[in-house]
Amino acid sequence: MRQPKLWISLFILAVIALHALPVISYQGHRQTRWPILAWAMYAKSYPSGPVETYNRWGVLVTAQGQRIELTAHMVGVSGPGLWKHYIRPLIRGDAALARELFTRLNRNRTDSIVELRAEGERYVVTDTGLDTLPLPPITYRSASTPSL
Amino acid sequence: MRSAPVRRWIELWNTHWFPTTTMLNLAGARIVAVAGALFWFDPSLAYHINLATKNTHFTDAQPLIRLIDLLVPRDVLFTSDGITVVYWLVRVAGVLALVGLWTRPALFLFALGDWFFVSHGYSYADVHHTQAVFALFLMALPFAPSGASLSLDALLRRRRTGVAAEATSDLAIWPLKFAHILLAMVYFSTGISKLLSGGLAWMNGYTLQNHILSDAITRNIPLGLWVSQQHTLCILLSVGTIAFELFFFVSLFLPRTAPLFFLGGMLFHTGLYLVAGHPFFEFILLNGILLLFLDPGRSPGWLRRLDTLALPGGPRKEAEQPT
Repeated sequence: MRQPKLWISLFILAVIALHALPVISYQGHRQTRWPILAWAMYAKSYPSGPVETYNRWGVLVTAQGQRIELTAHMVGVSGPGLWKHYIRPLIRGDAALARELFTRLNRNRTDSIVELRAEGERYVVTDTGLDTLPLPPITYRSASTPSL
Repeated sequence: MRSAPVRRWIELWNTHWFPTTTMLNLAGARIVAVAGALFWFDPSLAYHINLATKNTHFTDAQPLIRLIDLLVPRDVLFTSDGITVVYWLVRVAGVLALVGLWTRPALFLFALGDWFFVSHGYSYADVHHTQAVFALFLMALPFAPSGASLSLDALLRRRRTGVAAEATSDLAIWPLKFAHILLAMVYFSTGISKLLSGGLAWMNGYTLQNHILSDAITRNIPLGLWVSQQHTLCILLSVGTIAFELFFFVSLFLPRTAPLFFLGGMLFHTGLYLVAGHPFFEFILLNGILLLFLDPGRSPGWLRRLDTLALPGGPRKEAEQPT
């Protein structure tokens, strides 16, 4: 029975030791070593002051004028992936990504997407409850630059 | 020839990882873990087909997917048909592992399938932490005598030979201890990174209010919206979070405190889910498995009754008493 114990011991030591790798070479959000991960989750702290957050989403307008919400399923990513890799860059004005998205979404559509809007709201905790404020949308039209 | 200190270290290592214990707890852990993975954390076939067919390449391929991608062309495996075949093979392996037929090969295939689907889901630029520790635990099970009790393998062996298998083994507890040490490592890592990155301000209440508000808004969780507006409660919750994460490792050195930490872990992740929607269900299950099965001196009564029912001919052969 010595041999299995030796292999199991090496396996245990390897897995434990490998957990040093993400600490030594930190990959940020785009980790490519699952299941060996960096475990720095929700580590950011906020100073005392207003408690607020933003919610953003994508809206698509078709040539026939139909409004559709942009979903992770349509793009072929996960929900958080849609935010990190599409909505957030679109808010920052990434027109190249918008063009890629138009191509991707219109691949198998008859009623093609002609407009893409990154909409959103800001929420602030106040003494009286939660205030909601609309944010100006960022609009992309097929083969165009964003407009506020 | 090994020197005396080396021999002493090896002895200590073996005493910790490989004491002779009952195999009943390992079997119970196998059943609960596989049932959880089969019926609770079942990967959505439609989701994986959508990922595979909507994307032409992997954005951030995970190690297992990189390996498979080297061996099998993308247009063979990562298609609707390819993913469907893998999915059903993994389900069959899972059912075999659950009932304990060809238990260890079935467990290995099931764990590998679990790794395949999680890795595939995370190969399109979005990685989360929920499954990692559970997946490592699942992969440890085939390398222990997980099918020696409470399994069709054990029943068939007994019918064939007329003798019950050994009741104890020195390889029966290491997967549970392995899961325990991994949990301690990841909790400590999470807790210390909060303090190193955010400092003591992480416990100022505002930090947790902001984190909870952000998640509660995007996931539409009324309880989270309410908690995010309670400053004092958020101070208490953030102190509790840091204390739990930083000191979970104490359960490694003070085994009597371990059940409290496991119970705390289950409540902690349930609370996170109810307030902020964090789906750490695998952590809830793993803490539950450790609570039930880590201490070999405390086999749950229902497990012993189940084992007796499975062995109508009499009690098992006892090899050595658990240490």
